[in-house]
Amino acid sequence: MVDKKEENDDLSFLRKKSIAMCCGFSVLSGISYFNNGFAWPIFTAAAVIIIMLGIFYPSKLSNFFYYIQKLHKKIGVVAFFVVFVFVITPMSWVLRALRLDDMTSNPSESPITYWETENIKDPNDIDFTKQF
Amino acid sequence: MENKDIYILGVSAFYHDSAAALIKNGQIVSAVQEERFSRVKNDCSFPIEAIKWILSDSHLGLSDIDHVVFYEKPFVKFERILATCIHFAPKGFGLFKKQVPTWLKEKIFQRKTIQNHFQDNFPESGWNKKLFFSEHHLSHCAAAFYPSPFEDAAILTIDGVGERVTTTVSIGRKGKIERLAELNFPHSFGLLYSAVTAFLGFKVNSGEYKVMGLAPYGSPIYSEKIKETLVDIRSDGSFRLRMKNFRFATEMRMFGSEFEKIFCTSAREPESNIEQIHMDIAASVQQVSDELFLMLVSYVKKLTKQSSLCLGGGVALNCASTGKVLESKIFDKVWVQPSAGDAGSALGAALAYYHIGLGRPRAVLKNYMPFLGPEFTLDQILADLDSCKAGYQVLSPDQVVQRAAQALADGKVLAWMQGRAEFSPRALGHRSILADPRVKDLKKTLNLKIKFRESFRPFAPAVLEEDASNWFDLPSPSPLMNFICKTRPEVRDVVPSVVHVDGTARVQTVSEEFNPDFYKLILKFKSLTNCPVLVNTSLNVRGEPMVLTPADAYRCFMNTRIDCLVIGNVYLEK
Repeated sequence: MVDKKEENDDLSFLRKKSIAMCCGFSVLSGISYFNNGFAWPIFTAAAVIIIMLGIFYPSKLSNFFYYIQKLHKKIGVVAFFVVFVFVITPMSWVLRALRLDDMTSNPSESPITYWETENIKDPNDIDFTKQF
Repeated sequence: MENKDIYILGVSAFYHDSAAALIKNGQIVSAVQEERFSRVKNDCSFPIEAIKWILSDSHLGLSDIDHVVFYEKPFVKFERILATCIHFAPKGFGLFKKQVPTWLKEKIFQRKTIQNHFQDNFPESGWNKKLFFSEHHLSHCAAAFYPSPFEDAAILTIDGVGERVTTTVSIGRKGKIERLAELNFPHSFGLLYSAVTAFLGFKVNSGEYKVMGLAPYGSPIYSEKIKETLVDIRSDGSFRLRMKNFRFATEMRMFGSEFEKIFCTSAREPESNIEQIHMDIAASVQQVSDELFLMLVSYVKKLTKQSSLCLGGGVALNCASTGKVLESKIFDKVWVQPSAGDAGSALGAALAYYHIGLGRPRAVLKNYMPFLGPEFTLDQILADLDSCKAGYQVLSPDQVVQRAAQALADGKVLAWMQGRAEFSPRALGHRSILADPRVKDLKKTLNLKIKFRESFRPFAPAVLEEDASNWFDLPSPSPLMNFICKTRPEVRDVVPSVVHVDGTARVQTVSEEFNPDFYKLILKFKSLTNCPVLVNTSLNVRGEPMVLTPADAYRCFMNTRIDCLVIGNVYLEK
């Protein structure tokens, strides 16, 4: 019973993925057509094949989506690396230069205490409705 | 006008030790960890089975719950992760690529995730969707203060990290909690202790108590080095970590290669041999912990001028250090939340919302006992045992105590399951393995053949409250097993199985009022042997959570060399 349900969930998931990919290929096809009219038949054909397989033989797409997911993960790492190098790191330098970074990473010789007593949020004022 | 009862459900989840707790008009009704149902130790998944049990136990539907309170604020936590990445950049891509996608995909939508869990599991519930968020350390403070027996008290919470705060000093007065001072991430004593735990080859967030147990075998020869190279502690107990030696802020690991230089050894591989140097490292970090606790507590006393102290947060489960705090008499009375880690925060979040969010007054609990989990009727026990095809005898309560005590006196190992399960990582006589502490090689047998765990791990004594002072150097009763104290020299050879290598023991005092079944058993054992002490360890094997159901107990019984099992009035023997 549970296996059957899981199988149905898997098929439904693959169908949704195939619809999403079909839409993606259709959009690419449209862009290609209006841009230079060169590659759109390939994208259209891919969209049709994907949606047909998705409707009639979704299980045949499982390996395909597995590799797409792997590729997606690799692209994700590259994208995050770009964000880290070109956004996070410069932001870190700017905040440090402007002394706006309130996190401390090392002990300091000057203070006699590390306790923070200012800017403490009184628990009695905490707004429980907010996630921040 | 009708006075409607207010039901609040506290939930902790998605990090480790997820749990749920229910309070009714500020009174604690029930609480249980998800791991007990899922059988996955330190389970971090949404505690749906715990919630289902809590509701059914109180004959409530989700629609009867007025408020659901989550134990921390997810956005603040995400902000801390981003702030950490920004602060440590260009280092820290390892952490960034691992943490940020997970947060963006799932964790940042925790409100929706929690709502979905409720809607999927209670489709017909008519839940009012009133979901609230406490702050992580406020949940710890509330769990430590509200169930304590004090009208007013100082509160010290120490853990790894919540949203951003790692250590807090507060005062609890009646229903209110006022925070006076705090330390922030990355400066966390919990994370320092966890880093050493990882270096010693134990699992972070669950292996810390192994380091504590290993410490007495070593000499604290590295404690000065730890203070010089890993943490800078000021005289008021405030501290900062020397982050260049740690990696938890930039990578998905706890310590850097610098640890190997500091301790002149490589990190211990999990499950490899434990050598003297590992014991020395454990002893050193434990000594730093003890010193730090005493400095912190002195500062808390100076700041709050209170006579009672409540301790919370995962680090408060370090009963060697809390024992030193009790012994120091800096505070007249010390109370530690038995479920001081994140599981207890489910209870804390619910209590914080009731007293602070709703502004309801607090009635002081004189004796909080954490027996808040499921219990089973005779019919349920028999049905479970029948389904396991177990052979058993149903006895009268007196006969059960007599048979169990006699078996213990004969040197047998007994699994003892009575009443409601503990909401605590420690077994307090409701889900326990018990044995005669006078047996010499018992420690080895229990560790290797029954618990299947490391041979150095100590066992705790449970002693009749009225006899405790004759056997242990304990300044006050310790019914929650929260403090380590010295065993009296004259009895160390009498009960060798519960005395650690340094002559200490983590004592549980048992009174008739608060733990009657367990009290009767120890009393009977005393009448047979003249010894009012039993070995008490949790009813589980290594890597598994404590048992919950009679079927769990039976499986544990059959898969180990436990000789007898008692569940309620049912007696089983191999």
